[in-house]
Amino acid sequence: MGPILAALILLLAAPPFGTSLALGVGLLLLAQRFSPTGFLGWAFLPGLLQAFGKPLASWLSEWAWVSFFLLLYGLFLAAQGRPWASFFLLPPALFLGPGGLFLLGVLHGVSLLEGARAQAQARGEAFQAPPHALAIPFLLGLSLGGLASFTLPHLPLPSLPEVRFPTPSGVHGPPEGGVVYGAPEGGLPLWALWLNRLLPHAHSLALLLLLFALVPLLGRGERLPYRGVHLLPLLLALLAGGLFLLFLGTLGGGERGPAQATFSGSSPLLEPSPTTSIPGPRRMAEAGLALAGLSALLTLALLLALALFLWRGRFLAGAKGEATPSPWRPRALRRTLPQDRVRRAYLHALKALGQAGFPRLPPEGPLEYARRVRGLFPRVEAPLEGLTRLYLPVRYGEGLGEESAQEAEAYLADILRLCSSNGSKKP
Amino acid sequence: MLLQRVQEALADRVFLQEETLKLSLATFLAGGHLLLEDVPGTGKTTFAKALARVLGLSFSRIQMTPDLLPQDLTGVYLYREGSLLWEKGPLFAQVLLVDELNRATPRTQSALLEAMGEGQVTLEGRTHPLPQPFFVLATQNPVEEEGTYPLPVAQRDRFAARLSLGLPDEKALLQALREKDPLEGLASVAQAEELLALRKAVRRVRVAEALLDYLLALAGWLRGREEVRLGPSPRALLQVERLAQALAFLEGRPFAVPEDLKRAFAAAIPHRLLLRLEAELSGIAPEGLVAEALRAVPAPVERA
Repeated sequence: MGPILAALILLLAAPPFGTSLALGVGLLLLAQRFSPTGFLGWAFLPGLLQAFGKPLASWLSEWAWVSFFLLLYGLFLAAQGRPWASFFLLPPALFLGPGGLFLLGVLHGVSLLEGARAQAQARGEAFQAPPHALAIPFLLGLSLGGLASFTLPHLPLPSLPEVRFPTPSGVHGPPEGGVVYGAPEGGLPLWALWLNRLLPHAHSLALLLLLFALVPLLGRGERLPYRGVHLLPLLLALLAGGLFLLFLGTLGGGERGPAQATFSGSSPLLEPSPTTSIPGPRRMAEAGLALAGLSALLTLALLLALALFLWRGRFLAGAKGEATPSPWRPRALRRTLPQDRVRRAYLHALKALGQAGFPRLPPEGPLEYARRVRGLFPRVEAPLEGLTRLYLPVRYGEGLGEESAQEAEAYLADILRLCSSNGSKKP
Repeated sequence: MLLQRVQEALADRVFLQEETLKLSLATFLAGGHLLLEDVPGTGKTTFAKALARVLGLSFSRIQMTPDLLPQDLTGVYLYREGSLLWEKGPLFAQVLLVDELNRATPRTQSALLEAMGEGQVTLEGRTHPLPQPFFVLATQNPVEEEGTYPLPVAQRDRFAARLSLGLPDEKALLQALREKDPLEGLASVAQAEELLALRKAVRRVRVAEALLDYLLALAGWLRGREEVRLGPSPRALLQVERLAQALAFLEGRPFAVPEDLKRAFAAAIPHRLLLRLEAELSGIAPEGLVAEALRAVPAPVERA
C-alpha cells in the first residue's frame, strides 16, 4: 500500500507531467522487481516524453522536474522499510499543501506499520498489530496536515515586477500575450552575449545540476572510503543552484523584447530602451556580468569535479582487476566493489553486535575483538571469525573477489540472526 | 612454515612462551637485533645457542667485562713473518650472543654500533663485511647495577626489540631438571640462504596506509606525554613496521593487521623511551606508558 500512496502524492503534486509521471511510476515499480539494486537510473527516462512538440528550454526544464520527482519516488522505493523512507516525498507533499502533508502523514504511518510487520516476518515471529493500528496513519496525517496551517515567515528577498510585453494586433506573438525573450546584444563582447543567451535557461540548468549531483549519491554508503566525497557534488550543486536562483531573483534575465526588431510601427509600451526598463545583467553593469561569469565558472567546476569523481571511481575499479563498465549506464555508477561489500558487512556486524551488548572498544583490532566476543557470545564465534577472516585482507591487504563478498554477506546474515535471537532472549 | 619447524625443534628443550619465540624469530626476520633483559639463570644463553643451532647459523658468544676492548670483539691485525695478518674477532659470526652487554664500557659497547647498524666492521681503514644473516642477541641483567654502564640511547636504539624470557612454570622446570643437555642432538631446520630469502619476503608484506597512520598516532601520543623526555625515533618506527611485517609473515599473512603493529610496538618501543626523572621517581615505567598508548589510540577498524 505504501508505494501506491506515494505514487498518488507524486501524481497529485505535479499534474502538468501526469502522463510521464504515471509511466515513470509504473516503470520504476517494474524495474525494482528485476533489478532491486540498480533501478534508480530509470527515473531519468520518462521525462524525455516531455520533449515532444515543445521548445528546448521548456522541455529541458520539464524533463528535469519529472526526473527529480521520479528519483524521489525511486529513493522512497529503495528505502522502503526504513522509518524515514516516506520523507523522500516531502517536496511533492509540500507542493500540494495541507492535503499533500496529510497524505504524507498517512503514508508514513502505513510505512511504519509495514516495516514493523516485515521485521517480525524476518525474525520468524507473528506480527501483532498495536490496538487501533489503522488510526495511526490517519492521526499522523492529520498532525502533518495541521502543521501546514501555520504559515512560515517569508524571507525579505527583493522582488521585481514581472516584465510582460503585450503582442501588438496583427502580429503572431507567443501565447498568453507574452513575448519570447531575447538576450541584449548591443555593445557587449561575444562571451557576454552568449552568456546572456544562456541566462534564460539558468533555472533549468540549476535543476539539471542538482540532478547530476544526485547521481553519485545513489551509491552513497557503498563505497565506504569515499563516503565524504559523495556529498561534495551535492554541496557544490546546491551552491551553484542557489547562486543561479539568487541571480535570477535579484537581477532578472536581462532580456529585451524581439518586438522592437520584428514589429513594424511603434507601440508606446516598447518605447523605453530595454536596457533601462528591463532588469538584467547590464543594469548591474560590471557586477551583473561578474555574477553571471561566476555562476558559469561554478557550473563548469562542478561538472569537471563530477566527471573526475566518476572517472576515479571507475579507474579504481579497473585497477583492482574488475572489468571497467561503461560510465554511461546508471547501473555502472552504482556498481559496488566486493571489498566495499565486505567492509560494509563487517560494519553492519559491528553495529549489530554492539546493539546486542558486545561493542568493539576503539583500540581493539579485529582479531582481538573476535577473540573477546568468542568468550562472551560463543554462538557467534564461527560467523564472526569467518567475517573477520574476510575483512582483514580487504581492509589491510589487497582485497578479495566477488565470492568473498557473498560469503561475507552470508556471515553477516548469520550474525544478525544470532544477535536478534540473543536480544529477544534478554529479560 | 619456519615458525612451526623451529617450535617443533625446540619443544621440550628450551622453555619459552610462544609469544617470546615468535617475537624473537620476527626480530631476526625483520633484520633487527634482540635485547634480552632478565635475571640470571632464566635460560637466555641456552635460548640463543639453541636458536643459532636450529637456524643453522654460526654462533659465537662474548662475555662482556669492564676491561674488554673493542679489538676483542672486532679482531686485530697481527704482524707475522713480515706481513700483517688479520685475526677475526668473535663478532664474525651469524648469531652473536653478547652476554651482559651493560658490563662493558661505552667504548666497547659502541664497537657494536657499526656491526649492528650496517653489518660491517671497519678496522685500520678497511671495511670487512659481516657474514649474513647477522643477528645480535644481547642480554643484560636489570637487577645488578654495580659496575655496569647503562646503554646509551643510541645503542638501545639499535635493538629492534627487547624481550624478557621470564621464569618457566613448574612443569617446564621439572622437565629442565630431568634434561641432561638441552642442546644435545638439536638439528638445524633452516639454512642461511633460506633465511635470507625469508628476510626479503618479509619486506614484501603489505602494511596499509591506515596502519602507518595508526603507528604515527601511537608515536605522537607518546611524544605528547609530559613524562616522556625522548619519544620514539624515526628509526624506531621503521623497526616497528618491519617487526609487524615479520609477525604477519610468521602468521602466514601477506599483510599486517593492527594486532601485529600493537605487538611490535609493545616490543620495540619501551626500551627506547627516555622518561623524565620525576616520572621515573614516581614509579612510571616505559612499558606502562606504551600499554596506555595502545589503550588510548583507536585502532584503524570500521567504526560502528
